[in-house]
Amino acid sequence: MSTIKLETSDGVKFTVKTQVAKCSGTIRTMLEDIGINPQDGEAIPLSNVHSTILQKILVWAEHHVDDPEPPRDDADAAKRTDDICSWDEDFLKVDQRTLFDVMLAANYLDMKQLIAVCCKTVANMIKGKTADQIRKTFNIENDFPPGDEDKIRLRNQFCEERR
Amino acid sequence: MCVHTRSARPPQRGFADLPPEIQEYIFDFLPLADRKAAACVNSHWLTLAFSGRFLARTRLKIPSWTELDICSRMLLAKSGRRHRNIFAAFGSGSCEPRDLHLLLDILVRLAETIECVQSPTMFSSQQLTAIVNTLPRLKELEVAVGDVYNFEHEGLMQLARLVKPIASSTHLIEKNSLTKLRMKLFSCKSPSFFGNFLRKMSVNLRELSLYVVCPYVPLSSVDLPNLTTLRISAQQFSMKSDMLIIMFQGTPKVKKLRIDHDIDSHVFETLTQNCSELQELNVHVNVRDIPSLESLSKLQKLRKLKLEGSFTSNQMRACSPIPGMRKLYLRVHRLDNITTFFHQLERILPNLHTIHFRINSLPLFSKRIVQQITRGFQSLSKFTIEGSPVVMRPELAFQSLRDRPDGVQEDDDDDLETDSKIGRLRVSNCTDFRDADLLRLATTFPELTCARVGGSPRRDYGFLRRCYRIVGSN
Repeated sequence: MSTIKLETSDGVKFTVKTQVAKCSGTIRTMLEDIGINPQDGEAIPLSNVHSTILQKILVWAEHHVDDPEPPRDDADAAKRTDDICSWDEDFLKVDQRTLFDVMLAANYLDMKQLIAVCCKTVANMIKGKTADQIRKTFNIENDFPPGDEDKIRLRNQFCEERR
Repeated sequence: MCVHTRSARPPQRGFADLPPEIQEYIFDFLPLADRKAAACVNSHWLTLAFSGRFLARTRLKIPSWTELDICSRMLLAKSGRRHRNIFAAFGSGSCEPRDLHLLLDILVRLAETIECVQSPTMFSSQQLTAIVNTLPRLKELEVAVGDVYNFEHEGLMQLARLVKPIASSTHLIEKNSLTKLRMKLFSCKSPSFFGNFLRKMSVNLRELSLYVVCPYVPLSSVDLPNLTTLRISAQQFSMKSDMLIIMFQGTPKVKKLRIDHDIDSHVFETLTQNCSELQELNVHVNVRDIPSLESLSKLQKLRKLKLEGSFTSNQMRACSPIPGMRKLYLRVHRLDNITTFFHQLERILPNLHTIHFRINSLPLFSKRIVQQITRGFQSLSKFTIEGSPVVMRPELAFQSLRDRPDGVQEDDDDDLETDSKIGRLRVSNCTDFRDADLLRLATTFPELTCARVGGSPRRDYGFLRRCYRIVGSN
């Protein structure tokens, strides 16, 4: 089983199975297309990822390494958020800071499946809430001038699902 | 895994720090109701919630003038969102001058983005022209058209005022981008209007659906060279055979065709001759005529056929095979010989997946027929037979199953079960079906996942009016 080394932003080095590391599109491209030789013993620098986050992501990649390629989804179709597997659900029971850091890292590492499951988790945090509750959840400032929110709410009522 | 140094994690990051494509991806998972709440969070969330990608999937609903208070009307007219679809529902059923004023007011502001207009409301031909001319990017139009006498004059005056500045600023659209048109035609005072309208739209039109209520459709020859889907619903008298024949001559590329009223065999033959690209065909031929099935073999690309009519086995002999056909829905008025009929069908359409067979006359179905069908069509996975309770006894097929002794010898076991791949079976009006037969079904059709057998509601109150459903029988 071949391994490669990854170095995080804070200088921590990880030794990872090549197959697991290839869950990341970014690393896969480096290895396959650019032709970086993992046998050199040189660690691949991941300057945007902190060690605590990479560790978490590697746990996820280890668990999902044998997953089949997901079917290409239709951009127009309404998307489900209730199909997160229970392992992922437990895995993402973390504080918001970690969740967003995982998403940013997953985006940098180009891990589509992980991004999807994170986005679904965030969508589930938004669903069923009022604007006020959403602001509280994500700690967002309301930047509308007074009265504008009501106008938006009025205008929203004319928008409806097609057919 | 070895640790060298450990520096602090970067500062706390929130939703706003996510890249825009990820933010948009999160919103992809939100249904409309949650988007409406999310849009009120702050100005950034507002743009996220109603992104162009999302607006393409929704429509702006314009209620009638009377249902709108002044405040919402102003807001609606000033709507900055770049909607692509408009749905106008005016309460009165027709478009009053004030409604048109409001509609055009909004359409003008959104003219650059609107691609689809849908409305159950009746427009006069002039109103429609005004709407179409306002929207250079229009691709889909679903409206009702009829000249409304009462306010025609007033409406025209309004229109003249509104349309003039538009018409002068941008030159009147010569070639329209309309690709999809669904139209309910109530009346047509100017005979040339409809023909002209279609001719103007003709180049790009791909889908045309006409529902005709008025007594006469002034349809002269219209070339629709790119039309792929055509549906005509009309009363017998408003769409005469000669008109349909003219129509089919101008639609060489039609792939899906549906006519919702009886046609005669002459029309049937014309369409099979002219529309060789057909993949789906849905027509009924009237009771008096027997359509020439021979001409069907010209439609080699056909995959799905819904046909109603009378058939004779003889005319089928001349028909050559259509191996691509997958789904067949037949409603039979009259039939001379069912055995020969299915023999021929098996030859012509060997690769059918679905057969839906409905017959109104003669007690025909027997075990032998079922046997013949299950063996003959190798790829068959859905099979439905329907008939009237008086004349049809499909239970015969199952009765013979019931009578068969259980300990059948291997050699004799040459019965239905051998190679039946039928997964779904439906039999209606089966008056003599018992629970024991249900068990039989499972062994007769080893691949069966769903069987629905319904009794006649008129004859057997309560008895077997239910549907049976077997899942995963083995």
